[in-house]
Amino acid sequence: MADKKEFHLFLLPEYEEEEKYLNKMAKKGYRLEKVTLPGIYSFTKTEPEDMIYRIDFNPQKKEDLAGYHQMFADYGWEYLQDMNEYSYFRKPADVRDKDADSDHDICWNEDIYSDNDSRLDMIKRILKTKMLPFMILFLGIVIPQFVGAIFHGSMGPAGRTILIMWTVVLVLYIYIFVRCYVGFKRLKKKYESEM
Amino acid sequence: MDAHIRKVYVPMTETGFYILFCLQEEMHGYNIGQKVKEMTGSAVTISPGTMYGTLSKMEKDGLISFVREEEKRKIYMITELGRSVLELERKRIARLYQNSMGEVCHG
Repeated sequence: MADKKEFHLFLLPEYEEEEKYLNKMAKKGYRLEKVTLPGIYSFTKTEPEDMIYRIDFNPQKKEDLAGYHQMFADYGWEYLQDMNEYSYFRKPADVRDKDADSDHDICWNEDIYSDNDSRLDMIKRILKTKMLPFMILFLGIVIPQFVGAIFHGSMGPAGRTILIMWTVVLVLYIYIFVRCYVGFKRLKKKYESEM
Repeated sequence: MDAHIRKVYVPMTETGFYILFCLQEEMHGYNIGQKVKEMTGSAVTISPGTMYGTLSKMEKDGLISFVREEEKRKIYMITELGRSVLELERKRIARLYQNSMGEVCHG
């Protein structure tokens, strides 16, 4: 049984904010137990922990999954779970990579990516795997349904209800799209400027 | 070598270069990371997400090939295409170095 449950909505480009949130919760003594759609975080009460949470997006075929997790395990990362094809990892901040020998090792150790080229590659994977289907759904279903509902809207209360429903969906879609667009743009700028 | 390979790998990231360089011998990801750290006195380090992503990309593009699996770790080795990309990079870096020392590079 979880000691604490919180709801947070982090969209596709907001994984760094999500990591920060999980790190902060660990510092307050809440260790992530699990996260489920659409964004319910369950925590177990612990002593305050200096824990680093990282989220990767690199969906794997079944036969490659073990190798993917092993790579992170070699570097001291504990694999927690997947949600919405994102993979969650954590590592205590004071535990070094098993062969770490200098202070320098500690800082690169805290991230799962060591250069911005590979961070940009990750964004490309998210855009291709997640944003593209989202856009296709939008253009192929939401827009046509909305336009259809406008014509039916004049046909009594049932038509009006449908129109209201599709208007809500449309507004929600646009809101999510704009937030994702701004988020990805900001990430891209940040990674490119650091190169 | 096709245009895509040239566009993506010439010039190459430091991480990419070291991974390809190390794979002149059979190795798995974590081994490569250790060797690069040793070679560069910890100046270049490669994190797991970067390592995994770069290896997958290079395998897909045919620069390296999967040899076998050992305790869930994939062991890779450079291919002929990988060797020619590495050679191009080596020449480019040598020229860069010579020019930076105020020399003119011939050939």
